[in-house]
Amino acid sequence: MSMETYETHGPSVGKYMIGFILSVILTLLAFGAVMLGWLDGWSLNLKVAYFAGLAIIQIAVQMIFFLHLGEGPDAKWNITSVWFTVFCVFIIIYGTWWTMQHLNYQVMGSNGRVAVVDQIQQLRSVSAQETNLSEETAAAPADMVSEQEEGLNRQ
Amino acid sequence: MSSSILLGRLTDPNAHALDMLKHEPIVLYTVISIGVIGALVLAAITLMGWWKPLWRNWITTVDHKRIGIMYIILAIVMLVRGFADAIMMRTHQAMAFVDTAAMTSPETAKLAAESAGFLDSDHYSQIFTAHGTIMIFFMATPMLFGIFNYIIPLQIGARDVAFPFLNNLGFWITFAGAILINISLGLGAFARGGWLNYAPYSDIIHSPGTGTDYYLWSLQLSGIATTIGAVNFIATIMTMRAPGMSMFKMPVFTWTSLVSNILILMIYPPLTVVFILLALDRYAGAHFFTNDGQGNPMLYVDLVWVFGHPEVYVLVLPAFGILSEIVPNFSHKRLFGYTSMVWATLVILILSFIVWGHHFFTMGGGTAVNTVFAIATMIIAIPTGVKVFNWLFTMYKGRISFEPPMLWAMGMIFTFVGGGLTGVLLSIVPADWQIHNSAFLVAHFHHTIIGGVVFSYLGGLAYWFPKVFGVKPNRALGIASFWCWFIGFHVAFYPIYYVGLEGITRRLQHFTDPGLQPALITAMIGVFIIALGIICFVLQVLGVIVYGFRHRGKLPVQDNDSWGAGRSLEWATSSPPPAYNFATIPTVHTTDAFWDMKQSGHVRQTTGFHKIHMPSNTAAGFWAGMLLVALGFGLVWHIWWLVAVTFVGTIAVIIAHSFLGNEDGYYIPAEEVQKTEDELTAFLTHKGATA
Ligand code: HEM
Ligand SMILES: [Cu+2]
Repeated sequence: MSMETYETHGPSVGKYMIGFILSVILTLLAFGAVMLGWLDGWSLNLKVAYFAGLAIIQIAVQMIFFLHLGEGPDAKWNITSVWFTVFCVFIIIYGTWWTMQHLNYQVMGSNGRVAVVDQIQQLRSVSAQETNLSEETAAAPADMVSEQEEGLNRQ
Repeated sequence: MSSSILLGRLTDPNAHALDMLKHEPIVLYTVISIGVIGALVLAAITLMGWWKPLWRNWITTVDHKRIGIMYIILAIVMLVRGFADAIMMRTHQAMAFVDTAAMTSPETAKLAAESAGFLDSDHYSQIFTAHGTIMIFFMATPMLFGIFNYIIPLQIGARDVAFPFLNNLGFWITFAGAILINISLGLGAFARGGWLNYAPYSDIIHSPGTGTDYYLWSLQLSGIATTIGAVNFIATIMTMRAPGMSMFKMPVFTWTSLVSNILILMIYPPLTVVFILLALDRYAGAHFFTNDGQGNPMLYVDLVWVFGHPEVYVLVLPAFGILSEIVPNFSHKRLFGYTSMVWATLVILILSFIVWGHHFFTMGGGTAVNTVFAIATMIIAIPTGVKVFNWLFTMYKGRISFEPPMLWAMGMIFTFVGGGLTGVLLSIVPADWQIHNSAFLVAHFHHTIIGGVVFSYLGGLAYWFPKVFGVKPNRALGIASFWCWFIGFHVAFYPIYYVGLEGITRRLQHFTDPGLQPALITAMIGVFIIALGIICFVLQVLGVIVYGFRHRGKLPVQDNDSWGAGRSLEWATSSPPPAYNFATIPTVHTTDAFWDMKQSGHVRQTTGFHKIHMPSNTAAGFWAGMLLVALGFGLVWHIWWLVAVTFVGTIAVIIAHSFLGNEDGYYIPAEEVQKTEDELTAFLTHKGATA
């Protein structure tokens, strides 16, 4: 292949520019959100969705505008392999997420367990305040704690 | 911490750079003998004046056939290395029994138990990790890539792979990884966390030494090499097939190789990522897999098995392919059920990707997760069974000749079915709760990986050997090698099933129930029988080295169709094949292309050849590999200037290659092609053959 094949893509300079500008905008949306605190009031899940969403759009933009996905004689194969990649990444990420949801609680000291302990401690301190006991001696009402644990087990 | 700028952690007494050498005589003597043998080899090469041909014909080569041979030599060396570890473990375990019940105080009992055998627990942990890691990443994978390299382009009627330089680079990166992991034998220590080095054990708090760092960087190198190799072969198979060879006319080995390479592209990136995250934990104080700081070690286990389970299918699918080549050849029949073979391969591709969770049935998965992964695992038995039955039907009513490759194939079918059955047993969750991480598991995966993968690869080597060297390997040695492996395997691993069911867990350094000692002694005897098999195999290889030696590196051209019943295109060209593989690219009409050529009285072209375009050699891959060894070494020992220099250097070498390297390649003149082809013509007429 010589340079000419690339040059016949003449108008793609424009495409590159569009891709570049879109990428800059998407990047600024991510950085701005953190630097300027746009998302401060959002829940953690929403924040994750926001950033993951931007990342996915950015991937699509770069593949279409920079890697010319869907153009040229190999377009069919390229698109097939992109969908195959999406399928694989989905299995890895969703499978991991799903598995970890279930593993979380049972692993000692992992963040799942820590979260539960936090919640239990919150319950304890609430009940301690209510009954006016010191925090160390306070025990959460047994049914409340086990309800929490059951809830996580059921996931 | 007393690390110095110049030498990093090497001078830090806490990093224990020389501890293994000082305190483990086994390590000391091994390192000394490697040093002596290495020096002798280098001296011999210098004395014989071989550096120049070695450099010109091998180190800088981009010929897929030579690169394939280099991969296989690396794999054989690593097989011996990994097997030395296995022998040590098995002899140690056979000795490490102490009847603690008969002892007076618990303290003496504990001491006696720990000092039984000849390896202390720390060294034993290093050995089983070294064994597993080296066998999978530096023995089986390079052997696989060696076979890919040699056979795929020949089978699809191509002159080379799609990216010859990348191929050379991939080999040297694999080589760099192998060197790096073996440096840890002498300087520092080996990792102790098993072949997948589970977090949190592999984090900086529990494994502060250099072992895990060596492991991380050498496997990272091996992973990169494997990934670029896979890209190369997928591109080769998709774009460089001979005219007429549609997807459903490809030989089954090419099919399974394609699928295996696709699987590599699916699973090696997660491995690379998980190792980067672990490196961040260790080097930069991140908390991905720690117990505190919101990390979760189970995430490591999960991601590492996303890689780990399909990896065994990466290894075994081409093994199935090899069998699908050998069995029809030596049964003198066409392969039964070609289409079902291909579809079974594709089904295994998907299924093997969604079963990784069966590796943590007992680690808190809960009913839903365990059920899904268990059922997915069991279903794999169906396409695998299809394959086994197809081979059996191919043999049925065939005229079987019991040459060594066929012995390996039949041994594989017999053994692999047994391993598969114990695998299905392990996939049943309640059963797995009993035998998880027991010696039963060790026996199961060796059953599939030796019986399935190693037997097939050795069969493949025996089968294609005459293609590579023009002569058949010594038949008696081949048969002896097979029977030693086959018998040795069963003697070595059935007792391990038994002790596993009796409650011995994997990775144990000593035992306290003398009743089980006879079983482990039997296992040890089995390993010595396997050792005989390896010796016979190495003798075969030495035999051919002597043979090549006598012909001063230029092997005479021999019969193309060495076994007389070749079906695929690699048998259409002379043995050994010329640099350009095919003087005229064949046209394909049916699945068994070469068989079809023979049947239809195809006449070999003997005149009127054209000049042939070939890629040029390059030293860039070699230098990049050497720089990467230094890069990994710098990372392990925190020698940051070395890291910086070699990192820039590696990139510079590759960029320099693309500007200065001779990308245009060169032409083999038509006269030379004519001369080479005349040799084959002369041989064939002498033999009275036509095809
Ligand atoms: C040739 C005869 C072989 C023998 C006698 C042998 C023996 C052993 C032994 C004794 C262990 C340690 C078991 C324990 O302490 O729990 C082991 C582990 C292992 N072997 Fe082999 N092995 C052989 C070949 C292979 C091959 C060909 C492969 C792979 C291609 C392999 C892969 C492994 C792996 C992955 C482990 C697990 C290491 C770990 O615990 O992390 N072995 N083998
Ligand atoms: Cu598995």
